[in-house]
Amino acid sequence: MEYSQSLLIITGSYGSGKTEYAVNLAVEKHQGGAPCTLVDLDVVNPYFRSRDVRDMFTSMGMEVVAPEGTYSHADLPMISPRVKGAITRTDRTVILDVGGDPAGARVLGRFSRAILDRDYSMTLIVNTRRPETEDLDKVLKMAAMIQGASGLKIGELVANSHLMEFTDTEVVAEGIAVAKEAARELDVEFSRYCVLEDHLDSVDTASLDAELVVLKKFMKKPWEPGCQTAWRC
Amino acid sequence: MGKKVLMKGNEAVAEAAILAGCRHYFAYPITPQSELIEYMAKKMPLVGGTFLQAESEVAAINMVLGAAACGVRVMTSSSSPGISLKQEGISYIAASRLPAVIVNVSRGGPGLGNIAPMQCDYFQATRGGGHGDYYTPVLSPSTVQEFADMAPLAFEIAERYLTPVLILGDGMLGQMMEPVEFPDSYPPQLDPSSWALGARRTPDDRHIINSLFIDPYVLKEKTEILFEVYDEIKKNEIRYETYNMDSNAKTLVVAHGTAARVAKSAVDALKEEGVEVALIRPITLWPYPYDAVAEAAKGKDKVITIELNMGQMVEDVKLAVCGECPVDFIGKAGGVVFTPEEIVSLIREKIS
Repeated sequence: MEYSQSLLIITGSYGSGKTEYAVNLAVEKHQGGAPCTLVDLDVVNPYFRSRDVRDMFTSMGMEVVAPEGTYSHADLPMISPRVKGAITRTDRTVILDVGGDPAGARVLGRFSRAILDRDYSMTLIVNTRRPETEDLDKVLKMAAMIQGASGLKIGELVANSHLMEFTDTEVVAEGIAVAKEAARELDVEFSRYCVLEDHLDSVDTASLDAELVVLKKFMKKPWEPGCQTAWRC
Repeated sequence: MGKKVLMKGNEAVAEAAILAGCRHYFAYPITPQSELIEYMAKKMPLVGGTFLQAESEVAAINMVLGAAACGVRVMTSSSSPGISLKQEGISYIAASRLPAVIVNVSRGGPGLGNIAPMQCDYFQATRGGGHGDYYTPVLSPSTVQEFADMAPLAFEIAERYLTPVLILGDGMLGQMMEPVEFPDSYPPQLDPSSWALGARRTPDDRHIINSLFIDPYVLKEKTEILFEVYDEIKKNEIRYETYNMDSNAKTLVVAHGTAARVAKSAVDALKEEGVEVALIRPITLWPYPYDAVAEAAKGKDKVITIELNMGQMVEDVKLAVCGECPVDFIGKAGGVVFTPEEIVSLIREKIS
């Protein structure tokens, strides 16, 4: 079978910045001309989920598959009945924003047969300033647990070490070093690291040896500039 | 200080409690507080502590009472409906004069409400909460760092005055991530022999911990002692923060916790437009900084209270201002959080 468009699965420990990366990746693909579907598979976090950008993305012409209706803002481990269909679609780029930790990745197990039937790329987002993935050992452990829970194989690591407004070159470089080493151990790709657009001034990106992905912040706290709509979880 | 890490408020307050020597934690899960109990479940066994998921909130708070009576640092946490269930036990702990820390990561109410951040438990928190004539000191954080720092502070206050202490956060503070760092050392527990079981001061000293005082004169005396302690707490423990108070502002905003974060951004935005607004953020909600709010309101044309509810703290603000100037209210129910832009236009409306 010929698949023209890719299935990109974004995983990580919770709080690693998966959702922010997945949402930005969707915008990147969309702007690159690829029709794109973002799938919210988060059954772990009750707040700050990719369903929060549904209205904005829909108006930009992207498709968001997420729980719908009254209980979409509940803390129920729900997934949309449209997920299965989205996973098998080959006419668009499909991005799965998976819940954090093995607990979140377990949802993928439900779809692993459909996923294994086609090409996919699973990415592990690594923030070494999250205590659960603060060093090489812990990153490797997290990777093993997520692979075990999902029944899928990680193919790429993306470094996303940051400390919000305290992000500096040292923090980002530390993340790149750990992700690079972990990628070597796991025998997977490492090429990208992320810096939030607001923090570019405090990071010397020229000194860092990897491909920079500039992230735009979508998951804003209500008091942060540019959070235009009344926030709800 | 250790290295700066990124944590949710729920995780940070749990970690700080463990670092402060808390080795006993009993709770029952509820959103948006569940990361706290999960963190304790993961970490307590690693430090030789006791984690127990009780069969109910009622069971958990009574385990807290038992552990406190044994003289150990003990904590529980929940979210609004779960805190309501705990109120009987909190009243017993207050009457028994035992130190314990309770965290409320509050959510939308009344009833089951929803899981969104709301400040609608203010009345319950600041008026004792359960039955009987008592209060509990209430701490209101507005950042993840402050949430973490309040765990050791709550234990200190609890032990100094032998009272349960409530940390009143909300879903936003529990769920959001911010950089946080933990000090290298924490103040140790006070010597528990003055309140705990098992420490006989004389051979015939029978230290009985109880909240049942059948003789009305004994209950009267016990309650009066409680209120003498409350006077001491009012003297020593009132905390608040002021912002943009040096300006020639004619308007004062009063807000706590998450609402104060939004209010602060609104004060900054208004300043850029040339409109000066002063802000006072109560950090202890009980005892309430009445004098500080009154002082801050002096010479103002208007005081505006901003809350994520339909108007609760505004009653304390009115008590503080005592008719010196009009007190207005901006609030929202349902767990819908304002944006600074909304607050800016509402404040503009109120002062025009």
